[in-house]
Amino acid sequence: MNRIAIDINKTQVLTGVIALILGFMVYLLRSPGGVYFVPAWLPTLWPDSAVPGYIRLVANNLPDFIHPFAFALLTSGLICSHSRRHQFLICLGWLVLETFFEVGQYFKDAYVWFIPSWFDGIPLLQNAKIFFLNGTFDECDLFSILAGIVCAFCVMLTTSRGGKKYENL
Amino acid sequence: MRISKNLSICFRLTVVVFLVLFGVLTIIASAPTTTQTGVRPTPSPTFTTTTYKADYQISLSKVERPEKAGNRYGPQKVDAVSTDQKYRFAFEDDMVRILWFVGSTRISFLLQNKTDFSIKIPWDEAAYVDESGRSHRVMHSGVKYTDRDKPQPPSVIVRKGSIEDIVYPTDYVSWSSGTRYSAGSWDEKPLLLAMDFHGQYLKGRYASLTEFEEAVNKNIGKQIQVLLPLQIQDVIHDYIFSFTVDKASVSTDVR
Repeated sequence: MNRIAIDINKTQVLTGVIALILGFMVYLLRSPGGVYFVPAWLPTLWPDSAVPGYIRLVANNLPDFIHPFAFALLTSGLICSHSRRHQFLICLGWLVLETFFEVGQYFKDAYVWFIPSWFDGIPLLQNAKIFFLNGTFDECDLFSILAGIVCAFCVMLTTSRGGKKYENL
Repeated sequence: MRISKNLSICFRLTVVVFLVLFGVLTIIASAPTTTQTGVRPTPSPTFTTTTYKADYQISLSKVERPEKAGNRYGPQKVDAVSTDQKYRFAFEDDMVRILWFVGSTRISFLLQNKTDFSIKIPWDEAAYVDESGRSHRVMHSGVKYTDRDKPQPPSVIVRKGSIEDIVYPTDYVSWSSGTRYSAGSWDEKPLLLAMDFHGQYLKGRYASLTEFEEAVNKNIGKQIQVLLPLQIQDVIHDYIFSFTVDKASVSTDVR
């Protein structure tokens, strides 16, 4: 059986996964009445006073930092391209995608117009309308996204030489 | 070697597609279950709507009956009924007593049969004549808007009985198609200029209240008519009720 070698950058992938877990924790620490994928009862397991005030303060914008940071690193790490150009394109792609969704919370009606009605019956996708309608546009979120992408690019620059052969069928 | 390279490209493309889809789904999954105004208050636009409203005082000025009805059912009498400060007028002869209330949006009446015979109202022969003299087919209460152009069975008022009903031109009703965000609905055009809406995205027909008032005041002195055929003992008597706009006033409602 031929074994095909595919590179991944473990450092970037691991950083991305840890960031994603951290992002999930942030949602857990936020006040109840949070988001769709966190059950409403979960944050009520610990009292509000158990969560330090500064965490609450950053919890609003931290997910918008972590999400593009983590996904840009995961993409770069799994593709394992050492090309600066590819890494830049990965970052640019995620920046555009994240900005697209953030800006959608400002132009709610226009975005919802384009969401097909068959999304309504599909779990998760049915939240697309809710995401735009209930979400609040915040300029700070845009800065967080940009900061997340810039940080991800910096991590890519410093870790991209450590690509290691990974064997896969 | 070449196969290996192709598979590597396929793997990378699959990874990118998977990550983009996963990323988008996690964004959507972070949809707030409630509006976030409590978390991050952002100024939301407040919408105010100004409505110009017109109020008319319309009196029953004249009733025309066929000569044979006059001979048979005695002299007619028209009275203003000033209960509860509304502008109501009563017509009476030996056959019927009809209490009219005419508003800017519809005409309602209470008809009492004073005879010992049943009276029918053949609605297909009734008509409304607007302020410019154009005649319109009418409908009454109980008729579905979808059936407004179909033949309507006559209403029957038993001896010494009464009926409460409305008269409304069928072509003043129209279906307004819905949008993605709102269902379609029936639009009812008023008999006389009644309202004008002004909002952030809604520009009224009249630029100012003064213009609206001028348009409303033009209706003063104008006449609308209702042709109400009353069938008794197989004889149809066409009663034509003429209403005149005596006064008009305008007001604004801001919400």
